[in-house]
Amino acid sequence: MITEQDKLPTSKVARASSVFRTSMRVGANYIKHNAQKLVGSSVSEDDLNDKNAEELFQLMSQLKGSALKIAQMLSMDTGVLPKSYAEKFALAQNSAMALSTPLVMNTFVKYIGKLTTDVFDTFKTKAEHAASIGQVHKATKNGKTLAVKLQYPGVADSIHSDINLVKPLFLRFIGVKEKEVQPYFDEFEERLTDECNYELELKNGMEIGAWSSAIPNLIVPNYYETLSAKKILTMDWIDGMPLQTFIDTETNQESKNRIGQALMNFIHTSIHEHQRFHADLHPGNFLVTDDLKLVVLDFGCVKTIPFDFYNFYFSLAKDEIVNDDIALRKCLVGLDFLRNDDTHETEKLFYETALKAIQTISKPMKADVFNFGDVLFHQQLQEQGREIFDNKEFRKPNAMRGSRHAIYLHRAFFGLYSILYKLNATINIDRRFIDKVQVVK
Amino acid sequence: MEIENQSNWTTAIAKTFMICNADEHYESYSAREKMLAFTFTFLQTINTDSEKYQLLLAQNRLPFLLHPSIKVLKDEFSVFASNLIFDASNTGEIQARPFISKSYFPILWNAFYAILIYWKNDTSENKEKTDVMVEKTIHFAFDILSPNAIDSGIDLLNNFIKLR
Repeated sequence: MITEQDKLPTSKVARASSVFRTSMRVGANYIKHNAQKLVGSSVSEDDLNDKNAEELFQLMSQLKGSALKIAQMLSMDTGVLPKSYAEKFALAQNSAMALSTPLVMNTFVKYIGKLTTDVFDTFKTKAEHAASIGQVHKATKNGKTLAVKLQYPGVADSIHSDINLVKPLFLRFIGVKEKEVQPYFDEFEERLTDECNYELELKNGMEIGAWSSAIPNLIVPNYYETLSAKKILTMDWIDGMPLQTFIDTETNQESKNRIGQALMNFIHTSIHEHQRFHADLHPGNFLVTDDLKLVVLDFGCVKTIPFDFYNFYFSLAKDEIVNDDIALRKCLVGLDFLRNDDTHETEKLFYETALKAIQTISKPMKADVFNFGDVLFHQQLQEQGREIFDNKEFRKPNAMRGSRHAIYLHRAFFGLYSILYKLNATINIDRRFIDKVQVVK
Repeated sequence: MEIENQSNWTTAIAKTFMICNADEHYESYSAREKMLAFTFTFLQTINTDSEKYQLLLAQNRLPFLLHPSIKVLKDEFSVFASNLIFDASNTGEIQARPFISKSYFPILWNAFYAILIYWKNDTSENKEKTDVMVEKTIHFAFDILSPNAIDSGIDLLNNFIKLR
């Protein structure tokens, strides 16, 4: 499963040349497309997009480390790539490089100052799992089984150059100006840098672990501060099946509801009570234990949203705001969906789109019990993303909208809703959260 | 001064040998892993006094003419590398090839020396970039030495000639 490190195109030259090759091909596709148009044959824009998506996917799946992570974020958050590709990217996480045993030992000596044999009772030198920026080893100490996560060297340093490699291609693909999307790239870079900071992840894990211990059927592993360092993170090893396997094999709907409910409570508590949430909600970050408890892994991507942003955003889930035109406009301006210098047409467009999107996202928050397996709701959610992407108006200058905090909030909700859809879960909604939101008037 | 330079490298290598041999995993490593472990340990050792060793390395200004102090390091390294090549040839991890087997030591030495030069100029935090370089350089060197498609090609050709 784990391929050797030397086969990866990790040198900057190799990566740069593979990016270059794909930009050439995307360019060639455009020329071909326009030439066909000139001679009058009928080609649809869809053909072109499909072709380019294929090229983009081919390129991105060659990248590892932070470039893969960026590719995953871009594909999942923006809906640029067709759904089938986005799903392939989610799986691409599992095929990263493996560190040689001497390098594992070297990392320990460097950051903890001791050999693994001095730190643990036993330590398996062969990695159990590999992810895009690190690998996980199994160890034991004082009768406890531990998971030890090691980061690949050089990953943190390459984030900036990786983003700069992927950026031009991405800009070309969706056809927007660099200036428009720079804040979003800054946000990606910030989160990726966080993700490479295991000291921060340790802090996040311990903090979130403390407040979520009260949530039923939910487990956050214990983290061990003394056994962790900048590139090493030690936590409890918890046996369980990956959430995706659970989704595919479990037939008892009540068990599925129970897992879905735990996930929903976890996210809602995080967002509404702490404005701090796990922003990387894909099935690979969760396990299900034998006694039907949900285990949350990987606190590398935790987003904190400012309190006023939080209030603006969730005010929109309230009917009293949606029906009050002036208050609604004020919220949308506060969230940067509308701008004061908008022309009448653009304002109308953004107003309608934003309203529609937020109404769909907040639909489950208004019910007491909500069935996330509802195909109609799921389609609505999917279609909205597609609509925004297909509408040419959104590619004009000045058209990248929404506060940058919104990316991760949307990402979390899309992640949450799509997991709940796969679980076909019927969930009890705790409406106290929404009732507590301070309405912005 | 000259004698002091020599003893610096000699102590570093001796310390590296000592740490490697004391490690319980070391004996069970493949030749490739032994070379990796040796290099990492060596770098750790010279990292404790990196300024001194950087100066020592900087003495060598001409790439193809080794400064006497580096010559000492090369000789010390050859003790480790020759044993490694000999053992690995026996286990088949390194392909024994007529005529070119002689160049195996230079390949390993150049990989090792290239890493040291990279280490000298590495300004990244904790010299992390050197770690990446070590893995890639040594994998590359061993991929040349280990049995590969050319060997099986020659073997196939050989067989054709014999069977004809």
